[in-house]
Amino acid sequence: MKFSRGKKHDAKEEAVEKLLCEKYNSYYRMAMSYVHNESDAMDIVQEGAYKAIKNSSSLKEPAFAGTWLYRIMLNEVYRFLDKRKVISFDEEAAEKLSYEDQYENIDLKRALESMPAEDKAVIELKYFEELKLEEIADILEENVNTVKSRLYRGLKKLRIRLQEEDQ
Amino acid sequence: MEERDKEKIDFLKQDYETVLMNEEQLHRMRDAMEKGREEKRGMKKIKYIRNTGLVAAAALVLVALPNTSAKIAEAMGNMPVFGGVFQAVTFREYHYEDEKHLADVSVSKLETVSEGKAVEATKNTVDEINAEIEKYTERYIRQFKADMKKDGYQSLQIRSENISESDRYFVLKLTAVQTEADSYEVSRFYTIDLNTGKRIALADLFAKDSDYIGVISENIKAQMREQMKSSEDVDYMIDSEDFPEDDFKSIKEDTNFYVNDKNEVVICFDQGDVAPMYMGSVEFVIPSEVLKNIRVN
Repeated sequence: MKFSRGKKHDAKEEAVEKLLCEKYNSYYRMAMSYVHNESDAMDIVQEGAYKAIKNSSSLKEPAFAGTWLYRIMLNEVYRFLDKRKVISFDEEAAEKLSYEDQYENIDLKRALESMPAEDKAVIELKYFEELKLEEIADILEENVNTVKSRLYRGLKKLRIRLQEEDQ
Repeated sequence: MEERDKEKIDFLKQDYETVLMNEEQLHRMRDAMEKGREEKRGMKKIKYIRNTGLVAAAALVLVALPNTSAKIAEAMGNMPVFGGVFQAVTFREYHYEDEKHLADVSVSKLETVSEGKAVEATKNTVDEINAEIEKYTERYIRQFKADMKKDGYQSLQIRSENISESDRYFVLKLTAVQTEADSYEVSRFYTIDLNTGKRIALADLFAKDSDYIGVISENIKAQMREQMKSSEDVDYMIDSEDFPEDDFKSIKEDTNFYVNDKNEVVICFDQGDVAPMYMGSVEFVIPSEVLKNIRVN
């Protein structure tokens, strides 16, 4: 029957759909960490999910769906930030954060929040989403060295020193 | 990394992971996925309209072939009974009004009331269609509720009505009108063959191997030219010099249609599909004469 919605096997779309349904909190958290507002974060996730499914056929391999989805979601975040023109980054303020022990955790959060968007993305993807540097480079469409230097810069703001074996 | 630094990362990670999407947000994401899926399959087109306040009508047309014998069911009282086979039962009412937002939703679902042929299959098909109407309605309502949080005027109206009824065909049209900055239009129809209890397509109205698509498309083009000649207010995307690639060329297997009470095939297009947006949704009644050699049902 022609009208019945014949479900063609579509491995790319299925991969994207599966990931969206499993990892939606990751995308939402990432969006929240930039926009700090539930309704805006939700708009970002919705728009990203919509675009990802709609354009899933442009994905080269189902196996790339993971990095591809992070990229789509981050692009939505950037688009949103551009729109609002809120990429305000006060480097000095971030540097001046005090590190008295009792305030340490609050300062740590503030240090992460006040990072430039690209540096924050690297920290989040590396330590919270536990991705490899190569995958992060792929998501951000940068080379691995650029990602590394952002990682160092970000960690420095968190007053974390990276040792050889961490790389 | 030193132990102390690892603790910092762990703290930040734990803090990061306290953020969770709730049930309503998950629904909204799934709706967005569904929207993407439908557009990908070309089942639904979203038209972004630049001017605010434009109204787009979304029509969901349901065509059914009722049992010809049963008119008895009409005696069933106040309940509207369609074609002797179905009755409409209100299943969703939603009304909301404040200064900027207006929602007026009253949608019926179909219930089979008489014993036609293929009762079980028909019931299954009706269940399926009801589920889809419900899904649409809930989605519009959820979208409306979500949009209320934004600035600007929003309105939503959804109604279902029986637009055509004959001994043989039954057509229910579900119309959703959304008013906001961006609006979009959906048209869908379901045809139930009561002999088999299954949905049928436009192709099922015509003889196998007949070029119904070509015949109907040529007739539509002739009608477009005729209408444009007789009125300056009418415009279709045809014979255009500037954008010939956007011209209407042919209907497709899944182009919307219904059968009117004169048993004529009516082809329906969404706003913006074959005519400029200001023309709204357009319909073409294909004269029976044109189809007489190929029509079988």
